[in-house]
Amino acid sequence: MNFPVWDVPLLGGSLLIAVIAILHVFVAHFAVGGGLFLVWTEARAYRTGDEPLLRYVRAHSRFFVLLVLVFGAVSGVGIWWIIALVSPSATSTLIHSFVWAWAIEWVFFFVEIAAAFVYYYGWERLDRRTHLAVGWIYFAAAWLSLFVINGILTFMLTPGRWLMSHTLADGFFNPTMIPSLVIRTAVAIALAGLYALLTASRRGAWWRAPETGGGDEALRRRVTRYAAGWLLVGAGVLPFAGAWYVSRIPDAARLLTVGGAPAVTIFAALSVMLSLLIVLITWFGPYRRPELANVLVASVLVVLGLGVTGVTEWVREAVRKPYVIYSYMYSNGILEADRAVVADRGILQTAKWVDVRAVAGNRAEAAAEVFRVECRSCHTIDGYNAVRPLLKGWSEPYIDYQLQRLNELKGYMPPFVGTDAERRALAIWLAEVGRRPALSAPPSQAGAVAAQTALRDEEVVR
Amino acid sequence: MNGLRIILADPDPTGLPAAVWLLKLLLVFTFVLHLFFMNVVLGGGPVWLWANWRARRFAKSGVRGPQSEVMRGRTSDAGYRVEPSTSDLGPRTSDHEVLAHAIGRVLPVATAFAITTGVAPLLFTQLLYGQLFYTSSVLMAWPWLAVVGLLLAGYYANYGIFASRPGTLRAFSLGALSVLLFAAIGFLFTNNMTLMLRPELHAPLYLASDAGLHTNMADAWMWPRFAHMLVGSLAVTGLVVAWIPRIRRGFDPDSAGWVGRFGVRLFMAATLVEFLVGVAFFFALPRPVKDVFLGGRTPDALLVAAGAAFALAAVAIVRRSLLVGSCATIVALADMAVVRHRVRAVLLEPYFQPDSLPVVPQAAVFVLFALLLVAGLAIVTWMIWKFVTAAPARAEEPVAPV
Repeated sequence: MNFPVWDVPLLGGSLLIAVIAILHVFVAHFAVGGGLFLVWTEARAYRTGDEPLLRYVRAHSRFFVLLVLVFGAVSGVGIWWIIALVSPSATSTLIHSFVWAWAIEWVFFFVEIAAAFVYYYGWERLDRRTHLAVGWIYFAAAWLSLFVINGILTFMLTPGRWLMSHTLADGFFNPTMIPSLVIRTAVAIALAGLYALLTASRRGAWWRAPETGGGDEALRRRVTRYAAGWLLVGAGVLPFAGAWYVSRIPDAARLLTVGGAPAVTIFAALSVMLSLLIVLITWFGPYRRPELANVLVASVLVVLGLGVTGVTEWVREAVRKPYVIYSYMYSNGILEADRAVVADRGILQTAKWVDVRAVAGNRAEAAAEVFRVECRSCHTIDGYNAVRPLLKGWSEPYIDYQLQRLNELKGYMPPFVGTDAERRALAIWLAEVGRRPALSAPPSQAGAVAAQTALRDEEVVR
Repeated sequence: MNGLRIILADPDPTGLPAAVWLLKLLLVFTFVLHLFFMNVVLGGGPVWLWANWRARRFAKSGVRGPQSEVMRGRTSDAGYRVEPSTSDLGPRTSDHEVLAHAIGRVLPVATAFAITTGVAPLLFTQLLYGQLFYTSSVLMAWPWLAVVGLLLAGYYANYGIFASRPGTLRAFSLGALSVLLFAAIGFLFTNNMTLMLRPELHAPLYLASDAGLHTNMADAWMWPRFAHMLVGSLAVTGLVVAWIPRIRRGFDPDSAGWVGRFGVRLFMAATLVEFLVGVAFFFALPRPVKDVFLGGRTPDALLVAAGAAFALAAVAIVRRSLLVGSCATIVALADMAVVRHRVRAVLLEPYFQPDSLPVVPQAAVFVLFALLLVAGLAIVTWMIWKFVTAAPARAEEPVAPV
């Protein structure tokens, strides 16, 4: 309402967020767990005088740096980019409320990147003690970075006492912060094992024994079993931490995962089933029979892991609906506190970036503006979360009835806020959308054309 | 649409978490840090490309550069394997190859720190100017989002450069890719950073199209501003190149001298060209800014003059003292960052002043941040000190990530 809404046809802004965020999460947790894996395994190799294992850790660290430092860091910035484009109001709130938390996270990020470089380039240069110390610094900084971001992320679903006090501490140390931190740490450990299975399955240079030049199969099996152990330990924590987390989320959010919204329920079930599948494959495959593990098995596990990350993050985002910040801001950026004012004065009067200020002879244009401001942030016309298929066969009175009770009939949708005239115009417009064939133009493009003409006529004066 | 409409988003109801002067200070300070690393990435690419062209091995003739500097036998100290030469001169490296190699090693690290140091100023920009920045970003949403993809590709290209042997076709192609990608990123940044300063364009552009495909290319001062950044980055890269042989060990003394002199020459030439670009940029500035800097407000006019004076001083002295020249350049960079901030303030003055935003101080958390920042910098300094003072890597150990 406060910022312009970006129209992303077919894909929808929320899908863009999901794609970038899921890929980032899948790598960022590895950045944390993988850091522990590296320094832990390195220390173990020194302790036991295991030179072959050390060769593997070095090779793994190369993969780690290329994936984490580049893709992990850039995709993290990417999330910031896309949320600011799709939900500028929510991004602004997160930045204003938590700017010093972000700044602290930035310090950890800075230390993390510097430590990663020194660790990676320091294999030959640094003595073992210092190298291990740098490895631990890396892991500590990475985990602390997770600690900070986790606090801000969980705030969005369970802002807790922040709603009253608006203080950073109340928002950060919110009801789900600790359970979520345990989950994410466990996921980080599991993903460390998952990615290690991938590098262990590749018979790279590390696998060749320098003395004989031949492949060291025993080493590969050892590393495979060891990596599988990491995955299983991390996964073992998840059911308990998950149950703890679910017990702390708002009732309405929990309801969505157990039937309140079919798609959310299916995805939540998928998350559990895919996780179980990963554990079973890892247990009976790489852990019990490491000799059978190969690139294919590891790749299947990685794809399944990405799948679990995807559906779980999607569910975590979905259960927050109808809010983007629970009980404070709706998914479309309208503040809970502004509801009464908007309902009274109308959305066209209170929204900033609209060209049509009232419903009069321009009903279609006005309705298109209402749709843009209130619905576009989640819905496309045709495409991801499209309205057209949902509206098929719905009459105007029925749509109008739905709009009046949107938040009651569909708990995951924000209420429609606006005047009766705006709502009726939207109902007529939506009914027309539903009647038209897929991919046809919205009922009126006249508004946009008129605006363009006006722009040409006036020519912006510098 | 009725006449010229200016729509400005409301300030965030949460308020600012610290005094405006402190946030502005942090914004400018962290931007200077970003400017340094970003310039090395932006300017390092073209220098790498040029050095690779001079050291090319893929041309038919096999000539790898001027004869005068070719053929001093040396082995690579790290990063790539020196292939046995087909001639009887043994493994050899031209000065251009040494230069390319030196830059190639710097690029991935500089990219990482350009990103890391870039996060902070963007955070403070969103905090202070979010009302304008989010809007201009939405207006150019697709090009702006493309920055993420371009950055990802450019970063990997810079790792590819790191792992490539200078003079090969692969190295040259990766360099060309890196130059294009990072120039495009800079271009998009210049677009958004100038578009956000033009609130009078926002409503007409948005109401014409909400597809997020606008840019600020029609704005006359965007182009010289972009050029100013590009040329400036070459100057900073020149300085960094001049420092490399002094800091890193294992350079052939002749090559080290050549690389050092090249860096200084590049710095001087680019800075002088920067003056010409700067003048063009100045005259392309929107009217109110020009008026202010032409003496409407004495401190602002002095700022511009001081920036130019320090840059000139740096050019005059850099041959005698690289250290003094570099210090003068850093002062000039910081000064120019302040000027850039003033341009923003002057342009936005009629519409928006950050000083009017409500402030709800979060003093305790700020202190925690400041303490952690000091601790973090201490830890990073310790790690780098340990790394630099440690014995260099064994020569035969390839450390390039392939």
